[in-house]
Amino acid sequence: MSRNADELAAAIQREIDFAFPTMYVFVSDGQVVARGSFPLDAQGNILDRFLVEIAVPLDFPEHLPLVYEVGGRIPRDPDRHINDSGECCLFLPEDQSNTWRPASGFLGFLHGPVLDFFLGQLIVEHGGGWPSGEWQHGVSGIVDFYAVASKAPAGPATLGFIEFLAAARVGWRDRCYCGRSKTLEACHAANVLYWRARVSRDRAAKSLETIRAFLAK
Amino acid sequence: MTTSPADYLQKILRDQDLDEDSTELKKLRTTKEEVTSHLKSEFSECTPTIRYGGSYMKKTLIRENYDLDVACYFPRDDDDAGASLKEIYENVAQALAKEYVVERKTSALRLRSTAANQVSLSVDVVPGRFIHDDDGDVFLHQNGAEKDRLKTNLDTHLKHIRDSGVRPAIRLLKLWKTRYNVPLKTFGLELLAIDILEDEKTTPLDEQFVMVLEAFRDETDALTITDPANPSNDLSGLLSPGVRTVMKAAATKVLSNIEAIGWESVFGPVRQEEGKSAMPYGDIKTAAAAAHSGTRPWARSEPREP
Repeated sequence: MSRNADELAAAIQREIDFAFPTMYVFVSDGQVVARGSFPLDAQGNILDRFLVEIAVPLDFPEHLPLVYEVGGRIPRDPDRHINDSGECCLFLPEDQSNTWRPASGFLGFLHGPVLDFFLGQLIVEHGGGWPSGEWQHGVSGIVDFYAVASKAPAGPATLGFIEFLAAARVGWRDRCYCGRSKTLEACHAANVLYWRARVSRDRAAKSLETIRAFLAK
Repeated sequence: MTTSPADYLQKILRDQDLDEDSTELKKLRTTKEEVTSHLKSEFSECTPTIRYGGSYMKKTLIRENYDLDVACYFPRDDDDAGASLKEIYENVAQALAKEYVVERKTSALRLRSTAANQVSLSVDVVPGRFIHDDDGDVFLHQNGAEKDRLKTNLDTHLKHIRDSGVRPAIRLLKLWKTRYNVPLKTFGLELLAIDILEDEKTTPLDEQFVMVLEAFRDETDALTITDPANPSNDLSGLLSPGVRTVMKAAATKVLSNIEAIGWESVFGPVRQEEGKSAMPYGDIKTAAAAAHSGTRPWARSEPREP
């Protein structure tokens, strides 16, 4: 649902006013922007702050906001999960269901993946590792995600699994993606159902296309 | 809030004090000495003047966002560091790159450590060349700017800020700029504050703060900045339309918070007394890890070649 930029800005400001008093929302060239210092709250204690700017699309939460670290504090290094522009790679899009529910709104987005991302950065700054691990860069990360989700050995089974997620209609009597001589129905049906509810067909189809293009190189 | 707004703000400023013997300043001074020693060794044929600048000398440091500006100025008639300002800038950058990760800014070189986490050392080196022998006027190279050189004078700037009579307001506004991520350069903020508060030096701190924010909110488009060291310097870039938009939004937010919620909404509560732990955990890493809810980050791009 696209809204008027001013309406969206006002709605988001109301949502975050008390929880994030050092963030403010405005419209610039038709773009809704949330900006300020983002506090890293650990049970009521502010550990640190990062300077952020968040571009919120008019059809949020259908599409995700883009989060930028604008203080220049985080080195622009893929290993720090940040692009040269300062755009933060908060999570793998395929992993969204484990990370943030659209129903939780912009506030949930800040309290969830945004907070986690900057907490992780703080820990790395202090010499630690990412608290819950990190997905590999680029396509490898996408493959890893589906390999884990498939509960089958990585390889052809992974692609087979993604094909089931991307399919318009699932062939339950087709051979299971894991390679065993069983139908999907008798094997990993529950897993396919679980992940079809969490990864959209469009997303799965796009992942498949990306992986195939990479393998073809 | 039972204390007056002015008292609250004074306490907030005291929270932001950094003693000369604090760990933070000791570390900065050590880094400065290391940088100085390295530059003098790299440019042993010249005799650069290396000195402190910025908020350390202006006495406007705040704990939340401090750094050290180190001026590295070469003699007027000495080409050993470079024939042009650009060459000087690049040669200093390359010299520093032997020991640090160097980030090129418009006139400054921001230093980071070479460790894997590339932490900022909070030190900016500003290379330049004296114009005359005795008055402190210098030319600085402007990297990527429309005009590739800038004439300025560090001592004039330091005096202008130190003797402004409104240093507490400047520090508070720096804290506001930091907390609310306002993209106005500190130098520009200082000059604007001094200008707006020219006749308000004895006004209470809370009123000074509001006065400046009201100017940012209500007179955004009319604001201009003049360089006291060189009035012909074009500083209009400090107040681009984008910067003005954010200044106005941030000022509006804070003024509205003061009215609707109260002063403590602006900068939060006064920090815990020294000696009391503010965290239930022993260190930041543990506290951060405990608050983390499990999101795994991903980098869209491939890692850089070593």
